[in-house]
Amino acid sequence: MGAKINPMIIDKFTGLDRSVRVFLIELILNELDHSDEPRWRFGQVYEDLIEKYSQNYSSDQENT
Amino acid sequence: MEIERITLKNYRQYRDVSLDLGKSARGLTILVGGTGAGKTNLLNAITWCLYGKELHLTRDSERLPLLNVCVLADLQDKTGEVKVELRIKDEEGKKILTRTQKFSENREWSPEFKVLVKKNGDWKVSRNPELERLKILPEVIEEYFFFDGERLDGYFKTSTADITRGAIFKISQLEIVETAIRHLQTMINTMFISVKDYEDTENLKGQLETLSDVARGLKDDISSLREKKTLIDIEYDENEKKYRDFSTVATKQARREAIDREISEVDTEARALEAEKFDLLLRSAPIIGSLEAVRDLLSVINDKEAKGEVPPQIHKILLQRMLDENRCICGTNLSRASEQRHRIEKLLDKYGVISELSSELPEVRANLQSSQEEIKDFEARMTELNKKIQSGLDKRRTLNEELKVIEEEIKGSDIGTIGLLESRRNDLKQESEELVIDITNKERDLYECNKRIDEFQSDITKELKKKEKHEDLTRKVGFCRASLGFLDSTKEEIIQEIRKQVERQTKDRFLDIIWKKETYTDLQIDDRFSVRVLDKYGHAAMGTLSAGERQALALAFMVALNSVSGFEAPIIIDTPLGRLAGETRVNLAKTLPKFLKGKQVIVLATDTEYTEAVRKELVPAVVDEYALAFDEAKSEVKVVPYAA
Repeated sequence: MGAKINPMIIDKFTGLDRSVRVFLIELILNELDHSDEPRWRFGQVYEDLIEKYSQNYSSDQENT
Repeated sequence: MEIERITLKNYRQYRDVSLDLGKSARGLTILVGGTGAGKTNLLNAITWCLYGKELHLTRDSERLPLLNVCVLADLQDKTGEVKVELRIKDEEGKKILTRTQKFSENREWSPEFKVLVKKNGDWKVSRNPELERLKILPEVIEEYFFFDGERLDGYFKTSTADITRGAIFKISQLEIVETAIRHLQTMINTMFISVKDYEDTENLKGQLETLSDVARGLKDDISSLREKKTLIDIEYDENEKKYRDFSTVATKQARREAIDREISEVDTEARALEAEKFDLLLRSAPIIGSLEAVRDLLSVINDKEAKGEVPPQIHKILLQRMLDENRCICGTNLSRASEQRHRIEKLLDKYGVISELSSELPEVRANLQSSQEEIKDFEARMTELNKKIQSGLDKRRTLNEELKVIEEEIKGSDIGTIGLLESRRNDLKQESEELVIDITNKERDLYECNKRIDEFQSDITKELKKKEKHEDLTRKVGFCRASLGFLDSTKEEIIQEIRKQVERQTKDRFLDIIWKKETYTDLQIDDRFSVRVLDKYGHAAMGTLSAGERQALALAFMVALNSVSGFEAPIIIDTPLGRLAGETRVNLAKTLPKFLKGKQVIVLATDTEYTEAVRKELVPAVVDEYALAFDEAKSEVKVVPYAA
């Protein structure tokens, strides 16, 4: 992961559930890393990230 | 990021140039050159090194090869190499980015990109040079760091909303956030598709329960039928045992009945034979009565014939005709006096009547012989009938004897019990066979039922796995939706915040640098991203901005964008003042050092725009001044210190 996320976006993630926050940061970093690839096949990367960060997530949290 | 040095080898008009920018890390470097001297290509060299693309090509450059034309002309069967190297320094330390590309007369190789990173005093090759490049400055926002005067000039000439919105989205990475939102939405949709065939197992479980009840019922039925069959079999066995005890009597009883039937048949046949015998006798009685007379008559005839006493047979009519015609059949004249006539007349007189009887004799004999034959047939038939009658009598006697023996043997036995046992035996046997059929049918039904149960259990297992997957996916969907919802609302907040930041920074810079401070008092970027410059009366004044003012506004906007991007990279402006003239040009030049303060800025200027007046305004911020000296004969640019 090399590209930098605009600090304003990172600031917005403050206070979020940790898994959602890290998930979103990794998601955006991946998007940045592949921003030069119009046909980037994001599916597997997204699937892995969702698998990794949704483990401790329960649907009760959705409304919080 | 700061550029410390740019090295170019065989890149277009740069044969071998090394431009040291170390001193300009936080200041203004001016590079002055005439048209075609290579100002824009210096910008292109940087973008080629970073992105593998020349993003600021002019029409002239497009027609020329990347490799310096003189080097290319001298290649013959050798290869030449283009190389652009950027020595930079960012928050992680020093790095060298190098892009090279080999050429021969007939071939060009793919460019190679390499990044060296200095760590603990040693240069190490980066394993992921593309990521290093992304960290430095992503291509998507390059245009807000490296730009030309023409772009600045045209920025706010027409409708500003789309340009402003596009720029804010790019620079703030909102485009990336939007892409992430789109991709996340796609993932959620995909996950929904994956679980759409999920079926609640409760329904299957209900059906399985019903089938299990049916199976249990069938098992009970089979068990009950088997018990019943066992009882029947026991009774059958007992019945058989009793029946076996009576079996000899039964057999003899059966034999007696058979003998009775046989006797009846023999009697019937005997009666038929007697009737036939009587009929034969009745029919043959006349012949039998005349038997002696027939034999005697035949004997007489035979005797007479033997003695020649049977008169000859004469043809009376023929003889009479010969006499009437007086001529014998041999032609002899039978006149009245002839001896022959006389002889015939005597014959007629003597044998006339007897001869008729003689002629009937063969028929009589034949009748007599026929009667004799009939009598012979009668005798033979009678003998045969008598034999048969006798045989029947013999058989009846034998049967009667056997019957007497049997009756003697079974005398006192209970024939009724045997019948009852036999009847019960048959009933039990039939009942047992019917039970076997019932049990077989029920077992077949049970087999089918169990097969269905297996299928249902398999389905339920599959559904449970699906349910597990469903629950897993539901959790993931929930997680993604929460993330998506947050990202969506955050996006809106970020848009508004960045819009306000860009608005504030653009306004501050624009009002700071603008020379008509009394005229323009406010700048707004509204919700639809339209940039509005207001005069002191609050009137929209965009339309009244001069070219220089518009360019100053664009510059202020660019620097504001640059500032909110979160990236620290040099600003390289190609001919920023080229489209301005006189006082406007000087006014803009005056403002440049102010809002570019603290940034590494490289200005590529033509000698006509970098006038003495302009230079005078810029000099306080300038750290280096170079001139690009182009040798057209060698197609080569040299970078030399600028001489005013």
